[in-house]
Amino acid sequence: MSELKVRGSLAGKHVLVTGVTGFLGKVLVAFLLEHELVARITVLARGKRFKDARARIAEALTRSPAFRSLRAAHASHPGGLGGWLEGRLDVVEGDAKEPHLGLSPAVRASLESRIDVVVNVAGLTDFSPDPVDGLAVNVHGALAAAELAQACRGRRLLHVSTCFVAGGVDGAVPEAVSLGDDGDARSPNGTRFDPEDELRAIESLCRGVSGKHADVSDARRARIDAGTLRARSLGWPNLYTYGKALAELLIVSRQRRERSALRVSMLRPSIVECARSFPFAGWNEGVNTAAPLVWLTGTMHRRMPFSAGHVFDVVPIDEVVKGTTLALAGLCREDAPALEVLQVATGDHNPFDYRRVLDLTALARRRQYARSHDAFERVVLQHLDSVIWDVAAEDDPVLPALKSGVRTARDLLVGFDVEHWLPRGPRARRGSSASSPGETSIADRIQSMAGRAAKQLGQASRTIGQVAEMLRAYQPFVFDHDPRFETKRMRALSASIGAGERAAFAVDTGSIDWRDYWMNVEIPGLDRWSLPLLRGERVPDDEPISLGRALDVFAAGEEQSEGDVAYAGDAE
Amino acid sequence: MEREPRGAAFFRLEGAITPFPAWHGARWLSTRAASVRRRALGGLISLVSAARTSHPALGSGLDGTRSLWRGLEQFSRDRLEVLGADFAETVLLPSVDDEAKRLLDLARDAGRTPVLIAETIAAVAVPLASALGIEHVVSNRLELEDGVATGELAEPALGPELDPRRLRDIAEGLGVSLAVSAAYGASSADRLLLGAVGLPCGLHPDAELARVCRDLGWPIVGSARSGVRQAFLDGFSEASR
Repeated sequence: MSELKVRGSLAGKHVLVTGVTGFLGKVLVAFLLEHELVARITVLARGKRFKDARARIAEALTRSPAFRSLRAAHASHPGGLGGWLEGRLDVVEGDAKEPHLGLSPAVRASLESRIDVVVNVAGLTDFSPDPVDGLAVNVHGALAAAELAQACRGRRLLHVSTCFVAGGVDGAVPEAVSLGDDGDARSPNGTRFDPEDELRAIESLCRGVSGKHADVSDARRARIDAGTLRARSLGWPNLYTYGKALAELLIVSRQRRERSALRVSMLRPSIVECARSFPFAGWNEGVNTAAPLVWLTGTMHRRMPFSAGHVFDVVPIDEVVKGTTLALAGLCREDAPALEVLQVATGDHNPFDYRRVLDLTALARRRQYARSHDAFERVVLQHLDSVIWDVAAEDDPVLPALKSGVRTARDLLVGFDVEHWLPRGPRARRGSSASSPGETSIADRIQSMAGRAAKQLGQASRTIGQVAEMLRAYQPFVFDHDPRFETKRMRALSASIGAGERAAFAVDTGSIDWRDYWMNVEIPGLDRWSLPLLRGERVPDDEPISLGRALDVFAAGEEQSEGDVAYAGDAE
Repeated sequence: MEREPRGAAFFRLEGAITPFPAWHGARWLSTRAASVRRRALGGLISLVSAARTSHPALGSGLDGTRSLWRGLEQFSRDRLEVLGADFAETVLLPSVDDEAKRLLDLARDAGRTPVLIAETIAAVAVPLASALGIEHVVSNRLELEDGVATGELAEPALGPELDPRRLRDIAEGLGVSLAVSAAYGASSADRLLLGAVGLPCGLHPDAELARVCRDLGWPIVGSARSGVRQAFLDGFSEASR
């Protein structure tokens, strides 16, 4: 492989990035801006909750911790961060769920004449989304991004997918799309199918199921169940991986069928977790894959239904962003192949198995609880290390039995009537003027305690149910299958960077010291940025700064214009 | 011109640097195994082994030390090193008294290389030595297979007594002369260590070592163990008698 000059390849390029309000999108844009790698970034975003796209992007730039270092670096710019961003970043209103990304023909035509690469990061990452939404964003959105890229002057698409498109498989997963020369795809369980037919079939299924339910939420639930069943029948564990796989297959099959000049790079990260160093150590956003598992190890639940030797394929977000940058640089080379699939994973060269994950998580929690001011954490939880239980979550008899026991206790307490247990005398006097205040007060107190206990048991029963459901959702990844995502191409691409650029851009997943990363970066990062969300708490953004100057809005037909909206990212 | 030979300062961890015997660390660690069954088993093994090392009738020396660490079988490398560092930081380090620190400083000022001699395992001794600024550590190591402890000590194992031949090898490895080296011991088992160097010293010695020190004219720093300290260190031994 010839030497990859990252800066050289990306110099002067105008890229359009979707999904910038998401975890990966933010860090990618921050990285590209911080290193000043491309000439201009146009971010496609949609308005939400009474805010237009520009306001949302401005809010992210001024408040999100992902842009902390960017804000610090350009705080002294005469025009503030907004001034520095002038000519470097603009915003276009669009929506990955809408046909043609929600772009008007005029804006689209203007983008086509200027954009070199479309970077499609947008995606719904729920394991079980409503298939209507999942297909709209993860499949149609990706196809619309590919169509736009094909019409743009650069004819290049970088599509961010996931390693888990491989579905329920064991062993080596190559950096390739499983599409035969005849256009037929192979599903994870070996079924041959036409991706176009499959898309029509799942959409028809959704329509059919929706028609049978008058209630909107019933229809949604039925679509999820039917869609999940269909995904599983082909070997994908959930709708998310199924949708992402379908998108990959459709992009490539259309590219081949139309013999288009589009060059595609598929970037597949495995499980994206807290940053090692960029934007800063521990940064995470939202509830990602590891957060529920880490939360669970800090509770009373001890037995984890994991396969000890299976790999938990985790990659820090900054390594994924470096991989995306390399894929982008590779795609911008003159000799870029028509299709390149690159995986950013660790399992094939620096594996981190579940036994170790659990051990390190328990050790980190032990340390934390040993210093806790909460006596329960210090005395009880500190000593409850989680252990591997080599049984599938769906075969776990304990959680259902526990849930049933707790519910029975709750039902007994709900039906508890203190009067029934009072001796005859006080019972007869209760409520009458003859009862003493002491008798009434004790009986009422017992009744009220029973009510409170019933409420707590009801909550505990719901939590146990959620834990059981969560473990079942994770079962394909933590117990059933052990895929090893190959990263030969990604590592070769990384190794081809010139010595001068290696420190900044090389993907360095081989050097991750898992103990240090997990205990000192990941778990503190999750504690700070993700676990509060699981508890229903808010994670505060940074103190907002003034953007100084309004962000540019991408305007059709003009070279560039500052929009007439006065929003400048000031504190609300 | 011939260079003056360099010396080392050998500090015994158990008793001299900290008041805790090796079995205390073994018990602390083994009762923090992941599974409750291993905790109970490990705790029992460490207590029985402590009795063995404390009472001559039950056997002592290297065999006792070897059995002490069997309770850590199935500990992962991560668990050993993380908990070992925690034990060193939260239990051992706060117990290092000012006399020991002063002697360490004196050794450095005199140009002697400080060496920590420990019956405990490296997972505990190394972080403690690092916190005290001691570069060289002679301690036990647990054998690991695929990152999991077998419960056996890697050879050469180090018991309560340091074999003089091994001490000579260590000195040779460090390029120091025993004749100009100092050693600080606390128990009667340290007699061999102290006897092998030019500058022996009892540091918080037990009653027997204190008597030996007085007989041989070796200096004693810190009081000969008495009261609570003596009770703690010899309590198990007393109880078993």
